[in-house]
Amino acid sequence: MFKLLLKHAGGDESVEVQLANVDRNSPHLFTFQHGETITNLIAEVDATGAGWMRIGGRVIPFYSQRADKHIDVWVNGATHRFEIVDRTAQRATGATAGGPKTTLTAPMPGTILKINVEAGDTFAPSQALVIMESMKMEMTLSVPHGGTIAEITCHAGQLVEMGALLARLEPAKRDAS
Amino acid sequence: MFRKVLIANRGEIAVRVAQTLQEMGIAAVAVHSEPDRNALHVRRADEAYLLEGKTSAETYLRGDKIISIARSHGVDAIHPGYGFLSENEDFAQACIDAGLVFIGPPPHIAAAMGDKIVAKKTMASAGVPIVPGWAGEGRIDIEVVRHEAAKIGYPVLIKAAAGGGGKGMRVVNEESQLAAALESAQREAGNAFGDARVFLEKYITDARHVEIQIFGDHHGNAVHLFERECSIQRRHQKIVEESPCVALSPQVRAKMGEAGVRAAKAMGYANAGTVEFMLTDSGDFYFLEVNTRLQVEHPVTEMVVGRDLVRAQVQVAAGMKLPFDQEQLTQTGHAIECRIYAEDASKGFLPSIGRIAHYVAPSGPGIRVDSGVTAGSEISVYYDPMLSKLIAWARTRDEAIEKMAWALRRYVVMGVTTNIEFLRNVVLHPEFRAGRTTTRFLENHAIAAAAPEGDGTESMIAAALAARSGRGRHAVGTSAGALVAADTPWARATGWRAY
Repeated sequence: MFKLLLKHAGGDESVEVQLANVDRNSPHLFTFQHGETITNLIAEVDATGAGWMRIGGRVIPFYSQRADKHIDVWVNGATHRFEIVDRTAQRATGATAGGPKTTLTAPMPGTILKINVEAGDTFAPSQALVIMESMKMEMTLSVPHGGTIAEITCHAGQLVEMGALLARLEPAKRDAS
Repeated sequence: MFRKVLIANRGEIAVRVAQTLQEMGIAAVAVHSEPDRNALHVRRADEAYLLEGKTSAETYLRGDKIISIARSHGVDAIHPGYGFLSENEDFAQACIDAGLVFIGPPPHIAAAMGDKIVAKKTMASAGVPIVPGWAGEGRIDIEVVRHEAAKIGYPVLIKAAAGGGGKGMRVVNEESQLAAALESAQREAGNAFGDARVFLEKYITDARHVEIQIFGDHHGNAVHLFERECSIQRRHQKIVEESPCVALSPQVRAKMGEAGVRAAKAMGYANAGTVEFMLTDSGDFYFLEVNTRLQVEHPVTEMVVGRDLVRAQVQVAAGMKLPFDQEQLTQTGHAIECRIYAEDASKGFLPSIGRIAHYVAPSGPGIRVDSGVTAGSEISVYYDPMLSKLIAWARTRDEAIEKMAWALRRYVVMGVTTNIEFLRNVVLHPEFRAGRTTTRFLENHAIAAAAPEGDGTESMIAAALAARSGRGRHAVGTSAGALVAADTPWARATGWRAY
């Protein structure tokens, strides 16, 4: 999760936005949240700050230039300046400061395609547990540590919201993995 | 034909002239100031030599240094571009004296046309309509001026005989302002040009700026290449030009073209030149001045007439006959040019300086970009902030406007503030689309910003992505960084070559 407090130059109010890379195996897949609005997108940025994003079926190239306190972006034929009021970044999935995970949640809204494990199964670090589809792209969900499946709370074909609980996990003891 | 030509200029025109020279098998020699060491016009040349110094006065205006470089490197001819030394008769004469060909009209023409009073008299005697006015001889008596101004009718315009760039120019709306305006115009002209002579003209408001491209050779031939309308101006400088002019009937067009050719013949004109006119609603036109050089806006003529004017300039300078006669010249389709400036239209067109971080020019059928910059180019305080010219050609004016708007919407320049969005709002303005343009267009119409596309989410997403990636910060911070920028498909489309 990457939180940012932005202020459009010329505007008065700063707005909090969140950008999350939802799946470590799909580095181009993001969810963006501004207020109540959540946008799912595919995006890529190159070393110069040039990139593109795809939202639904739309393709939107953009160019960016960073300075310490602001970012200029060119989108749709116009250049905008944003002041960076505040920023906090957290790692998206896996090894957060909180340690091993006890739940597996849907990083994006989508459809569950396949569940590779059952309750009681043990799993290895980064083993594919659940495969889901979002925006016509498959995502493989895993956690960076091993453990045991306590409960499966979803089923194949199910439509899930972002953050929906998919499984409860019992992380392996540290010396076991 | 020449083997080697030196281009005494910089920016887009130096790049553009080099291309034609190279097409013709002629080596293009660039000169450059210290800040321009790595400029695009240097990289596109076959040879490049340093003019020590930074300011124009130390570098691109130093005719002596330029001629000395030309002589020591086997140069045959010098192309002056526009601006700088292009209309300086002393430089043209010095080239000739040094055994170099000056690619432009003979020096005496630049000298005669540089004096606005002489130019007007020459045109009047050639039967070219001139703006009603009065030019006194010797010391000007204010009572005589008062009498003449009243005869012309207010508002009147005071202009400097040696004028240019709006210096020594005053609009006088009523008699009570006359004495003070006259005095300050004379003072300003004296300071700017070392020549305080001024003259009076009827001030024509709400007219179009329409100019005729003329071309002559050293064999007595002269033709015109039709008109360009250049009414959209800020601070007396053109920013949007087009050809044909929608306001010209075939009869008036023919009359203006004939006037241009008559003017060319009266001067004994050789090479490219432009005769500028004011065109009123009633279809009357009045001579303004002659520009004895290639114009910034020459590409709109090239697109519509289908001729390379620089090629013709080189051929004529080499002593060849004009490569076209009047009957071979026709106008096809419609072309519009927008001048892309590093300036902030929302702050009185204040120039903007900086390093260009992203540069992606539009391309495609009917689109031409004459650019002097690319990613990594430094826009400094030393020179004119024009970056490039975007030209759109299509079958009709409506299609050309749509094409121009499309291209402006896709023209990416980051690192300096540009007038790209402003230009798009101008060409999409209902009055521009309707072809109702005068030189006061930008004064009379507020150019509102276009409504942004979408709800702003996309720009925030782009900002968040950029902030997260931690990139785009030092992408083109150095020339080595510029090579990194060149290594992307976006930058590569600009014509970068990383050796």
